[in-house]
Amino acid sequence: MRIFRHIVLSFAAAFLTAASVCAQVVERRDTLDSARVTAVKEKMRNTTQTGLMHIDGEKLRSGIALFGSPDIIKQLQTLPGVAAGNELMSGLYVHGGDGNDNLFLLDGVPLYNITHFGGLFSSFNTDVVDNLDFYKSGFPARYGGRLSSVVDVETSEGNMSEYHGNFSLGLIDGRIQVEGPIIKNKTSFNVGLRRSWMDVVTIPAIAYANHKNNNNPKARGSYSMQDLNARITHVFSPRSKGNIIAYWGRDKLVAGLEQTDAFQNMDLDVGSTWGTLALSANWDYKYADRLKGKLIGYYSRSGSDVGYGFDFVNVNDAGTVGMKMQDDNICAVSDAGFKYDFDYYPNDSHHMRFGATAVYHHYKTTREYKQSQSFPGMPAQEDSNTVGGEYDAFEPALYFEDEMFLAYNFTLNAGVRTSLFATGQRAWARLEPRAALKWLITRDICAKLSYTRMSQYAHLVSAMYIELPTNSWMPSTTGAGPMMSDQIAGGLYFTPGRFKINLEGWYKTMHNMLAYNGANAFYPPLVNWEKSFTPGNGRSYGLEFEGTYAGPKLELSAYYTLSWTWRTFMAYYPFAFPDRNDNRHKINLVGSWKPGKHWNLFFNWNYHSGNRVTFPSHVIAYERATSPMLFESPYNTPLPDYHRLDVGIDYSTYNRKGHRWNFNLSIYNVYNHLNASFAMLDTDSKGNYYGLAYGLVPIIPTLSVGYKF
Amino acid sequence: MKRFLYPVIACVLLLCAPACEIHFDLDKISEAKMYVQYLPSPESSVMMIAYAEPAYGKEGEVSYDFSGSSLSVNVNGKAADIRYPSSEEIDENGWFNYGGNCRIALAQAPSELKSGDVIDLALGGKDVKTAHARTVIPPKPSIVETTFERVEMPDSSEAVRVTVKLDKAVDDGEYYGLKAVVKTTTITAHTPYIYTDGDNEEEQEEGDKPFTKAFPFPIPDLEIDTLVVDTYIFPGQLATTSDLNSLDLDAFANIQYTNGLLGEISFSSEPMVLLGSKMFDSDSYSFYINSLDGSAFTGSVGIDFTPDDLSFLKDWDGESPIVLLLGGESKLQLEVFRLSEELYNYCKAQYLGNFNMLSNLGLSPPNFTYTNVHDGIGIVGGLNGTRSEWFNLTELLAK
Repeated sequence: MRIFRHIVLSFAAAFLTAASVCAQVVERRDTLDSARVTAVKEKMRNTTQTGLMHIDGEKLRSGIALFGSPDIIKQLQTLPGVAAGNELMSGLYVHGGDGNDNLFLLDGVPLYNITHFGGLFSSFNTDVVDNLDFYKSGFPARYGGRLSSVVDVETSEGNMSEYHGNFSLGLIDGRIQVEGPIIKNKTSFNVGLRRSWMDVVTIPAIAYANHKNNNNPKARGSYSMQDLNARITHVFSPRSKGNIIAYWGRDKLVAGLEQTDAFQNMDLDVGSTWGTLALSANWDYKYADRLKGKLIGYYSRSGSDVGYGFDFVNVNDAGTVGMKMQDDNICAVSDAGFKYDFDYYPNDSHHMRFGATAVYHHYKTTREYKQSQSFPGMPAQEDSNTVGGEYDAFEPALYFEDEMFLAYNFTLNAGVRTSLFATGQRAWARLEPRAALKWLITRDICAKLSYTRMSQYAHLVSAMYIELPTNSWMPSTTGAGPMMSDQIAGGLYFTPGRFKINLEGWYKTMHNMLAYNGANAFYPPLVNWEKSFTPGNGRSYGLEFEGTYAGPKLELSAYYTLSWTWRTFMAYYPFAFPDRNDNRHKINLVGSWKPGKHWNLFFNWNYHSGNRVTFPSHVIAYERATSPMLFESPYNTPLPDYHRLDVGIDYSTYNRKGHRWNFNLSIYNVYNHLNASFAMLDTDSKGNYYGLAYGLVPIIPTLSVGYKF
Repeated sequence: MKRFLYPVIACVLLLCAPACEIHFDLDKISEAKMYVQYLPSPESSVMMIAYAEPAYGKEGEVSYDFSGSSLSVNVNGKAADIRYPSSEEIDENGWFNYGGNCRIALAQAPSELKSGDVIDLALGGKDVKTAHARTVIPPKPSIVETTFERVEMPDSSEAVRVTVKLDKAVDDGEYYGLKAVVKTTTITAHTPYIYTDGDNEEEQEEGDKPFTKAFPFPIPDLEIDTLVVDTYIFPGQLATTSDLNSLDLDAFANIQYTNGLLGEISFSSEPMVLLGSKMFDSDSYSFYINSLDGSAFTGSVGIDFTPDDLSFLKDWDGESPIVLLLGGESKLQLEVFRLSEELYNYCKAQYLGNFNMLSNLGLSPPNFTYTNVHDGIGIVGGLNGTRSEWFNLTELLAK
């Protein structure tokens, strides 16, 4: 059995590598530099917020890329205070969060599902991203609705005077982005389209295989992902500007098998589509020199449709035996809302932000199961079952914050956010105070301290740790109330010369978190889903260090996190136990070097203490036997430490028109250290137990090319 | 191209294959702790205490000397009398007695335990931390009505549906267990037993006499047997085949509770079969729990004691062995338990442990751990139960 497992896993690992080596694919240089994220120095110094990273679009598009496609989430994973969870996935566990508590905003519109391909890629197309702000603590009052982080992504406005764009081709996907004026200096557009092209290969390959088999058995299978970002900007006047913004992303997976012979026919179909649609319109208006406002109206829908069908017919002497099964799972969450945000500078000592938001949420889940059987001489039997439900909720909120410039170089950002969440069953109101204090000790040294309270009314209903389309979002109910967190963070920030050195600490408590406590299953529960979850609390604290040198040709960054994350779920274990992603130490070393006009080299070394798994811990020796193994506490065993080195080389050249060709070679996990993905117990030849972990992700080289005009 | 490609793939395979498995030590994940299993109730004061050693390393050594251990139980702050029963007393009461690093103890409370009693346990041991745990005796459930209804089961067999009505509606956060004891008396008649030896040759037992061919009745040498079998059935609310998540254990906990201790094998070892067939199968009886409707448990017991039709004996050859069902009866007693939250959590964790495949792969949260013993391991969980009278199902079916 072990040999079999070994072979299967080896082939799985080798396949990924071989696929990468074989791929004659290319992409432009816009790839991930996983940890080469540096805050804009001035912004860092001027803001009162702790735990803030500002990353501009160019940074997001440069560096090392997995599969040749830049990925915002994987870049954020390298930052201090953030745990990545399962390798390759888009987990974002910020300051001890549970991964479902991050607020993702795309041009101000909250998104629920932000990944493709089960979490392998994020939904953000870096070609159209202008910048992002990532908050881990010190959340301003204008943000709310999630506990652990805010990822505020802003897309680029199209160029108002010239047409530009780029094409790129990666290992998995191809991208195109075009921008330019519609009415010169008045109206512009910016459109980015991304689509995976694996199905272009797999569909003909499967068709050829079917042809060789005379279509018996006849296999079907394809996977595709695609997303579209579009933005139209119109300048009404120097005071007034409007945008219409759309995002549409979809994944589609189809697989099937049909087999026929003289006596029977069998047809199995599995299919799934999932994705997100977000439409918004916003209007910026400058009422006066010291007052401006932004109105956003939006609609978004995230959902999935997962199902399978099985059809079997057998004809024999006695008659016909038939069997049909069909299972269909639909879940969706739709939001319709508006926000009105104001910026007001009453005088030079105050910067006030205030506004209101109101969102109508509609949650819908349905699971439909049908089965029929027929046997010769017997009446047909049919069975069907439909479960699910629809929930409506209304969530208005008001906020106010004032950034006050006080004496002795102190700056205080004090604010409050109040929100209401009303469902048909009951309503909750929450008051969330926020405060951040900065003391600019010298021009290059400042100290900051912040306190924030956050509430979250939406729960991700999932029975698994991985992103599956069967996961669904549900509102708070009487059985599962809102989650809440309190966080204190503070630190010292040095910015001497080309260096930036930050030392920041945090202490965070999370209340009424939910953990799955039902049977292992791919499908999460839909009816009385609250009963399969158990409430509990979390606690996280730690220290983060960030040291960066940014020279004209050389950039080096070192990040270190020392952290503890605890959970208390009484139904699991009545005492505190470590979280699954309790990585005690996390180190990231990142660098880039530009030796010449055409070349750019990158590296990124990741290390963290291993994620944790649950193993039985005790045994009782009886007189004539040994008891079954006993479990004491969850997540009692750390997996082996994780480490990995990625490197990348960019080569850029310009043609006579000034257009740029970019070639990028990125190698993920360059020294092929297979890190533990999961683990189980095993015994040696003497019967002694040991932990056996499996590493699945080998070295993955990627060659890519891009053309920018 | 191929000349280049194949060696590269081969190298990659060689590079990857040996690294897929990663071995790591488990020696440091635990330290020795005291174990206790104590389910105090008005009817039981027995507990099992043990020395639980780390599962990895020096496993399975019977080495612990309880002389260095200390056990105390306080009920509402008053010390209970602790004693260690003799082997004879343990055997007489049918308590589990595994020996080795494991002992049976009794905690005699100053007065009979009752609802609301707070029980604190401390168990110390040599070179281990003292384990502490607390539980509260839950309220005693009260059966106010038991009704029976003849039903036809999905397999077309005849059954009786049993509904137990409690004195109050079940609220959230209240946990119940249900046990059915079916006492079956079967009366059979058979020709003297024959057995087969290793060569499959039929032999008659020594002293057996050949049958005579006297027809139709009586058949000489026919022996009458009365077999009484007690069957314990531990129903729970089960999932349907199409939706694992309809497994709703907030309505019930499955416990195999015998003489104050949880059974060694507490739960079905075949959960998927269990889920698929939607029944606990025990001999010829099946007990279904279909719903918790307000304050009533509803289940069904299949039962059929229709005597065999003896007319076929007219054609008997006088030699073939005969086994006849002459009749029988089935009695049912229901026990309803109210569980403390910690006992429910423990039972649920044990039960869900049967479904831990995805958890073991790290894909799903672990749901098979629970202990409420601080600095120790095991369960101290109060329960309180009540029994119904014995119902003669055979008579009820006949009415």
